[in-house]
Amino acid sequence: MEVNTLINFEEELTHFKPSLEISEVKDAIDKSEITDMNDILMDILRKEVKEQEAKEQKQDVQQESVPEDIK
Amino acid sequence: MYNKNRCQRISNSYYNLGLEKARARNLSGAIPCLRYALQLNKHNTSARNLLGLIYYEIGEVAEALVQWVISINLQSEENDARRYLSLLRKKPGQLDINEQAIIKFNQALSYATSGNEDLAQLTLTRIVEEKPGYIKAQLLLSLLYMKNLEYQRANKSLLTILEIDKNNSLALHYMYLVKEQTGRAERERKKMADAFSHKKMQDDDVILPSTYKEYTGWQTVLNIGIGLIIGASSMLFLYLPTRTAQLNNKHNSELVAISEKLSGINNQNTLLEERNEDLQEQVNSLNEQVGSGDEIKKQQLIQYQKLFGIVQALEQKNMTLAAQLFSDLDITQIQDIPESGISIVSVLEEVSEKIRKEGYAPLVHLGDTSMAAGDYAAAISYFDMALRIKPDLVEALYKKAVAFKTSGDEGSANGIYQEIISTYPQSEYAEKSKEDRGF
Repeated sequence: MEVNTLINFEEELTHFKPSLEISEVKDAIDKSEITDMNDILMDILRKEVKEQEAKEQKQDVQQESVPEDIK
Repeated sequence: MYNKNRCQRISNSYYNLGLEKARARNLSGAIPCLRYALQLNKHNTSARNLLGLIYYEIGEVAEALVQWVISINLQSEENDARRYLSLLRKKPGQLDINEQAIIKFNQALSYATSGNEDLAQLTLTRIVEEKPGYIKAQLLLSLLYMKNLEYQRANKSLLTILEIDKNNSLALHYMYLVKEQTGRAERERKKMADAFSHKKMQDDDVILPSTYKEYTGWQTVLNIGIGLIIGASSMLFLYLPTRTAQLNNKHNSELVAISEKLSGINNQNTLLEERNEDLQEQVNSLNEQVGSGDEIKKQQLIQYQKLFGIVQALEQKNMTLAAQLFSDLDITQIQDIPESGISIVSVLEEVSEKIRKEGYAPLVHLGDTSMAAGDYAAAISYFDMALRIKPDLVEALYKKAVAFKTSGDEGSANGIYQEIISTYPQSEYAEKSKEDRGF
């Protein structure tokens, strides 16, 4: 059994990625995604709160625009 | 708030899992755990620092620096990452070496991708000489070795990787391929099949050693034969010479002992023979003494009997017989025996005195009678008896000479005549003797 039948050299090469060089550390830190689950949850909560507030404001505006006789 | 605490707890759990794997040198398994931990809680400093350590260990220094810098940014106080960075800075040139290694690896990867595999292999070889712990470089190098069918070298690189990161999935996969190609996989499978059994053991099951073999009949016979030959050979070459030497030594010592004993016995025998000869001589001497003693006693007894006969003849007044007996008597043999209480010597003296006075005459008369009868021998005998009783009896001496002369023996007669002439010159028989001689 030849190795070429077991290993696809080209395919195996795709598993290898270039290493991060030391000169690229600063950029990597800057670009690094350090958001954690807590951040995401807080973000979601904030969005929900904002949406809720927006809905409440919209309802208040609609109530003020209704005629007196209808009331 | 509840969600935050929950995320921290889960993050810690992943960190613990990652730490456990890192301690077991399952570095590639620890990395995702630690990443999960940081995704759940970016403030988990321990997880981040450990992740940096693992990157550093597998040669990804830049990745390690990223983690440690972020860690310090998130927690500036009481952070081990600060210590790690200061250690890196304290070693001059260490960072440059790592940087060059990373740059070269990226170049080598580029070479390999572009089909320039020889140059890639050469570059990677230099990298791993300087940094054998650079996992990515070792993996790419082993892949290139395998492509060039250099399985021994690939195996060596893979072993280095697995020493650092025991569960590196790519390294394990390559190692499997190498083993398949070199036949080691088959041998190990067989070994494992021998080592493990999936059958549940019963109480009476016996585990047979791998060396045990069931032999057929002829093999058993052959083994017994070989055993006998080996046994016989060991007897022949080991036991027998030793035994022979022992027996020889024993026999030699016995021979020496026997020889010494024999020598002693011979000496004793010689002494005994000498002693025997001495004793034999003593016996002979004693026998002679006994014989002579008997003879003496016999002679003494005869003399005593003669003396008894003399006394008896005198009592019967037969002087002639007494004188005849006395003439043959050896008076020196007659001795007193104190125990008898009787003095035989005094008897002898009394008899002697009487016969010396009266006994020679009848004997001379008998001699004359015999002369007259022509019996000169008897006459000479009677004259001798008379001379033994009375040695100075010249008459008897002269008549004896006459008897010799008459019988024809003039020599003896002349001798007696000459004795009479010289011894008794004054006697009348001296003149007669001279006449008879013709003087």
